[in-house]
Amino acid sequence: MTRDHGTSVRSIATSIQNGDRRAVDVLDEQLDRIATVDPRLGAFCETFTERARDQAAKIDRRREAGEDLGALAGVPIATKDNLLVQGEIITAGSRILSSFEAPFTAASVARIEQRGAVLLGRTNMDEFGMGSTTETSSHQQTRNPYGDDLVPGGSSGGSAAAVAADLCPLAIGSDTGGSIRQPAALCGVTGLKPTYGRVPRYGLIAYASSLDCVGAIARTADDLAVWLDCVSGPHKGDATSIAALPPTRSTLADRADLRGVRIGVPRELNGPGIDEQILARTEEAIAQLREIGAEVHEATLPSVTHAVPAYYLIATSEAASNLARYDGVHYGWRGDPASKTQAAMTTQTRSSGFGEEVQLRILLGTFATSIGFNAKFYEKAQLARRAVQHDFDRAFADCDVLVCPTSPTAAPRFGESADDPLERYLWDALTVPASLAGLPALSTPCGQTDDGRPVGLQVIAPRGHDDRTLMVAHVLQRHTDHHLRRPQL
Amino acid sequence: MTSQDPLEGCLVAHLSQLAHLTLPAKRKAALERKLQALVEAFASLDAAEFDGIPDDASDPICAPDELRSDVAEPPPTAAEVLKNAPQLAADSFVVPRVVEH
Repeated sequence: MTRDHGTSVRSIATSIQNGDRRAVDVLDEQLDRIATVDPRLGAFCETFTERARDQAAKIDRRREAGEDLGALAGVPIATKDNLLVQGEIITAGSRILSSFEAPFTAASVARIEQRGAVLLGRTNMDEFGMGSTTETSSHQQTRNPYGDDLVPGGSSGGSAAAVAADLCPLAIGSDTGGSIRQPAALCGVTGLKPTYGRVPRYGLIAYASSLDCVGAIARTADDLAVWLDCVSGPHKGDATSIAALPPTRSTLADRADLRGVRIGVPRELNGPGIDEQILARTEEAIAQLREIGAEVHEATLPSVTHAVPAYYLIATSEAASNLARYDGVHYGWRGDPASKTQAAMTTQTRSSGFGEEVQLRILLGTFATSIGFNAKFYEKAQLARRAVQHDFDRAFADCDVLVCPTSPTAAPRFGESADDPLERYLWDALTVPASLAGLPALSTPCGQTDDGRPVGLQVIAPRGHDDRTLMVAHVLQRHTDHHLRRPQL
Repeated sequence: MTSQDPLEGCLVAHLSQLAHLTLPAKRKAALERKLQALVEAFASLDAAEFDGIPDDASDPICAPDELRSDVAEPPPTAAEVLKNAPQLAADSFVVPRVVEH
């Protein structure tokens, strides 16, 4: 462990609310650190410096006027480059949106602003969320703070790297098949994908609408609970957003052990295909959970062997439809202005505006839903999704949460498996099951490999019970210090 | 198609057309090879049996029982709609001609 530049969301908000610190000073410290560290790291695409200074100054004025500032008073928060912030360029990591100015602010971002957050800037990501390393971004390369040659994971790699390097105490991301949990694990921080629909998607640039979730990355589960309570609840712009659930933070406050908590360990997600060191750290974490009172037993999810193909066929099918809107007409980048017809212009725009991974996934999705192949691929994938959901239903009859590694490997090096999409997609094997079932899932640090790369433990709960994932991680973090480890920068 | 069949080049060309993508020759072979590998691997789903899932198994998506009321709201202005247009003229999107002949 080294220096401690960051402090928790709660302590920053409390210190500003109490007048112990000024929001503008907290912001300046954070901007200074970004200026020092980020040129090497590449976590941020852009800081919203002017906007942030205005917001911080406004918070300070409101405090002087004696107003209640909200749970996120003056906390500098970064947002992934696929969440709209009115008036700012938002690109989803893609050349095709390189000049796109957001016409409104995403619901999840507006809610944190209403509770006093200061929007620090947008973080780098895989193009449209399609990747597990942040290498498919059309912007800069983002490095893992634990090694210049290591990827930060993805697609929310910028958000995870930013939190791990103390460039911000919390960063918002999105998770379609593991895009928050996996980079959180690879960068040694805590990441939450809430229940599908708990946080409205309105203003999140779509990848796969039945899977996309807005989530967040922070140092601790406690900070994520504060964030979740600020952003949960239905929104008229998202028909799949669900009714407000009870606040989560209150369930964490007094919890010191896990007595009475039943934890299932699904054998399919704790065995073959997973690196030995990852399994060893996971077993140690499970032993720790048992020591602090949890009742641990084996569980089974037999259908998860089909989860990776089901996920990729459904996600790419939805992506092929969602990304049809990028036609070079209504917004975004337009290709060769000399194109003679509208069709030629659209084709040229998309061919030069989308990166190679996005094009591959559009083609796969187009294939899976095309006549002659739809029944064998897309419809079968939907059946597999139902089977995975049913497996979880049965498993949760006997346990409160399930645990497994978040990623089968620690952070890979740049370029590993770049030419083998199947190998890369298998990196998501442990995160896509919860995504298919719409379940809340969290990754919390649980140690490191022999060469110092962070390892994450995934906690999965039944739908609507996000509080259980946070509670288990919170108690584990009270008894361990893996989440406090800092990279040498 | 069986899991052993190659994804024929003409099918990839058709998919590209449907997706409004042109694959340059240099990248076409690599993309075809990757697509082929994925299709072959994912074809395993076709042999899987998914019987015995009860109708009342939970649905990952909580679709509302009732849609929200249809309340008229002020539409965005023309300026707002056109703000990000790559090319515009006289409050309209400008596109190359739509009909070729």
